[in-house]
Amino acid sequence: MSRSLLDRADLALLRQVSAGRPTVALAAGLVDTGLLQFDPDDPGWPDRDRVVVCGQEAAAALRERVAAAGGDAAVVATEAALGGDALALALGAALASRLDGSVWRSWCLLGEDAVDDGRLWEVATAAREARADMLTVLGAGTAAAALWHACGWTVHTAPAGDPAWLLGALDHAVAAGPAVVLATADG
Amino acid sequence: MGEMAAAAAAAIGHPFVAVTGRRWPGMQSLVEGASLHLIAPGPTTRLGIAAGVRLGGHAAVTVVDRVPRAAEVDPGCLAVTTSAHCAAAAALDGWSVVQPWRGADIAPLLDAAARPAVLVLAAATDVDVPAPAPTPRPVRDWADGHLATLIASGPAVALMVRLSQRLLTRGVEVAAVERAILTSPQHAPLAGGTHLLVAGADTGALVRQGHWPDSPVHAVPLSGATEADLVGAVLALVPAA
Repeated sequence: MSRSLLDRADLALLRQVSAGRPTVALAAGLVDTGLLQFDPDDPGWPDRDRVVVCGQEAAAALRERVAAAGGDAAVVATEAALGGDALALALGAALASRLDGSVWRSWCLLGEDAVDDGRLWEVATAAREARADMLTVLGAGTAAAALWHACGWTVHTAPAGDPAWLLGALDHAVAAGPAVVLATADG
Repeated sequence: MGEMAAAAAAAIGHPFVAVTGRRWPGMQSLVEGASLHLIAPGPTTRLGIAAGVRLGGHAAVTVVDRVPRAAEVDPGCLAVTTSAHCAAAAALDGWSVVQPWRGADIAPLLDAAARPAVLVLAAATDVDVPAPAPTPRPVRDWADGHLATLIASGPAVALMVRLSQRLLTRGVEVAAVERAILTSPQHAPLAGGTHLLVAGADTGALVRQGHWPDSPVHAVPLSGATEADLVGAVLALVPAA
């Protein structure tokens, strides 16, 4: 990434859009900054990023931000009912990216309840062992931060109400994966 | 077998990702033919990862010893097994089952098969496929009391079923026999009753007395132990009622 997210982001817009809500802040940080690579005019672009989302609030936030960017979330993202299913899909996509020379990324946006699925941690461990560096997880809440650490992931936390902090965390997360960015409602 | 697995790898096409458990007997050529190989616990998780690979535009194959119902998996799934029981159960659960007689048959059969599909690779394919073994009842509503609960994963499931029968003959009432994904003792769910017997394919067997997590744990190594050793060790720890 030649320029940091902070250089190209409209912090005032991000702050206004997210209003301190973790999933919206994460979705906005992903979409409104152009971090998520997709082309509304070419939905099937092979080098587009893949996104898997779990949780109603997270899915709604992503739909809103993708629509604001002119895209259709139904095309851009894949929804999964359980956290383990979501991360398994995202991990598989990250492996596919490696076959493509790692020119695109795999994202997994998890709502707060997604971490209650025990299989999530099996997949997280497998992702660490697979060195899935093109995989980034964005999660709401920090309750499971210790579990992510225990699974060998790099964990970045940021308050949802501070877009500069959040974008800094995203910058670091994409630099070395697999990594997770956890946004908190406080602050 | 090796020739069949190699033929399967060629039929799947390149590049592809192989997702397996820790053991893949007879699948060496298939795994070596993959561009990437990932080890992950549990057939459902493995199938989910393979679905993600397809989401990314590439082929993936999953090595399994059991499968969930076809309606619960990505419709593009391709799984490979050496287990006739797995294949028979898959057929009952709505999967296409492809059982080639020779390597050259694999590609056309896979092309023709509706997905999700299970490719059966066996050393001898000209045998009748036996009916699936009765699966343990996935009971979660066990009653509290002086009861034993058995939890097992992978190949240890059959052993646990046999062990439950031995316990019954000793007057130990078995409250539940449950299949679960176990790669470490921490993956065992909470269970009521006075005894929790846990066995994982790679993790050994555990006997736990009382309720999680305060009770002592007695480990019985499964790897390398004979079934008689394991059963004897467990029975020694579980008193007759």
